[in-house]
Amino acid sequence: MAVRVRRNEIDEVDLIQRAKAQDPRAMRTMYDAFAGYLMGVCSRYVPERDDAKDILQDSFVKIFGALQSFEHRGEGALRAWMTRIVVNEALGFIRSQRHYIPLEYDDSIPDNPDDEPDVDEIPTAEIHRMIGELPVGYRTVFNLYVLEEKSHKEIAQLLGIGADSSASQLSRAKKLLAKKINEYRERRRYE
Amino acid sequence: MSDQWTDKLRDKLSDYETPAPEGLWQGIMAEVSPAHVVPVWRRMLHYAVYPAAAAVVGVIGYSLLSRPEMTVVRNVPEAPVIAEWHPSQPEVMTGDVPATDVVVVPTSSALPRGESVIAPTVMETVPATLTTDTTEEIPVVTTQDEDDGREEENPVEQNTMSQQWILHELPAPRTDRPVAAIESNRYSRTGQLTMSVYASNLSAQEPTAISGYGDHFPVSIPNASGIRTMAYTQDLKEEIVTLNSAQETKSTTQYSMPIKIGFSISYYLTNRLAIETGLSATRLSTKVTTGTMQYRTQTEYQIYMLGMPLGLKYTLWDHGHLGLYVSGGAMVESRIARHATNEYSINAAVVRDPAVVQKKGGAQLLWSLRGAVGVSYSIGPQVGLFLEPGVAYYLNRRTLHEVTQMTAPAVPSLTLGLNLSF
Repeated sequence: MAVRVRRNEIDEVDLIQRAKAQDPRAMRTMYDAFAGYLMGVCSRYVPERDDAKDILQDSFVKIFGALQSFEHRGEGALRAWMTRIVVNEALGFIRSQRHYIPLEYDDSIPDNPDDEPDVDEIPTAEIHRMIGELPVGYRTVFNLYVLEEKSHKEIAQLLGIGADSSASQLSRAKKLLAKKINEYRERRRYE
Repeated sequence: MSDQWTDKLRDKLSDYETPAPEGLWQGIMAEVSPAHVVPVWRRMLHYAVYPAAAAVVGVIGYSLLSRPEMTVVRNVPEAPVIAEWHPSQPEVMTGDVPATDVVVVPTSSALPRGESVIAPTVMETVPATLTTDTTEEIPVVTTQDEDDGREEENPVEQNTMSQQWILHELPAPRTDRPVAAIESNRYSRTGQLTMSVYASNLSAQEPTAISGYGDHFPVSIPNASGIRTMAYTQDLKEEIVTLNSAQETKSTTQYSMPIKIGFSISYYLTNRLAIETGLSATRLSTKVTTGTMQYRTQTEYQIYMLGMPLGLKYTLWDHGHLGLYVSGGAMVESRIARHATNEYSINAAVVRDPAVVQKKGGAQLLWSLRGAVGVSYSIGPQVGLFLEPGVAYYLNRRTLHEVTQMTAPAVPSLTLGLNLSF
């Protein structure tokens, strides 16, 4: 069983130096500290657990392989760098599965949901699951824009689509997710 | 719609973690460090360990039980001296044997299969010169006919004996005074007892998948107002069933390669026909995954079976070291233990139930009919190897599934073992 290591308890600079020197204990510590978070990131893009595991495995192999070129520039830099690698691997996987990021158009989504969803009381795991249930095109754009904070221009370049298509996909993704959240809250009200 | 809720959502997910999958670290290390990569030959070795063990035992048995190819018998009727001579080491001869005044007779291991020396005694002095040359003369030995007991002269087959006889000059023996008596006992396996140990890799069944819709709806309990509300149970398995209500579900079963080891005893009723029984132990491993992608349970079964076969073995062909036979019969098996471990996957989170459900064997017996074709190879007078492809057909598919989780009634197998004859 993996040992949970709190990221704020480790000295990232020292850890990186030792991991660069191929110290297996440092590599394991790095894995224990970030594997759970990176699995969460990865499974937002690719919810299928077996596929996410493969992507995360490839990502860690790249992380350990590219660690020599990583320069630590402050707290959080390591996590952000690792996240970028995982996201890139996940996008590569989605492309390889479908050869392109399919754009989704769902006429059943209301243009104007009644009200803005209240996410405060929704468990994070539920939100994570709902994102995973979004169609792949919506999900990918939503993750990149909302959670990775990419611009539509950056997303367009990453996915090979137009910036307006990215904006359109995001809008529909948000509406569909809001609908799911509202439905979830409605269900819980009767439980 | 404003972006406030997506900002909150980002905050909520900023540190969200899901458990890393089992085996991920090992997979990473296998790729990062070449030393951690398990070579193909090591994986193959894992599956070959039982046949290899049988082969090692066979080689050891052969070295212990093998005899020298020749025996030199000094012709002193009162106190015969027997020495051993190996063709591979002609300069080495053990025993008090002069260079002359000896006669050489083959020991049982140098004789064709089914024949053995029963009286390696010499009735009179036969002058001979011992050399290391291979004689061109075919020695003549006297054998006893099994049917009428009469002695008759038989030239020993050239291809069998020519490299083993070392007499340069051997006077023709007189028929009334045989040099050696060789018993022809080609049909002497009657009454022989053979014990076998074997390992068998049963064929792993192909994975199966069944699709359907979850038909278990949440339990509804009326409250004080009479309104029925859903009740969620703490039981994860039950909760997964509930969450999958009206969803398209799938149940897949994966089978690992079963391993069977055991021993059998054969008793030859005639030279070709033997009755066989024994004991076998089988380990089956099955993984059943049920549910949807988001909510599923996975149960891994380890099943241990004990079985007793009863059948007949018939030798079709037997020549030299090689033999071909068929066998068939029935087998009854009973489950002696079953271990089950559960794993629950809710969204991306996996919860492994630490409790291992252990069940002893049930009363149900598994009956099967079995048939096999085998090739045997004798590596010594009493030791042999055999390879036996076969198939078992389970008579009750329902019981088979209940006891072993298997569905296909016909199970091919490949058995490798070691024979010891007494």
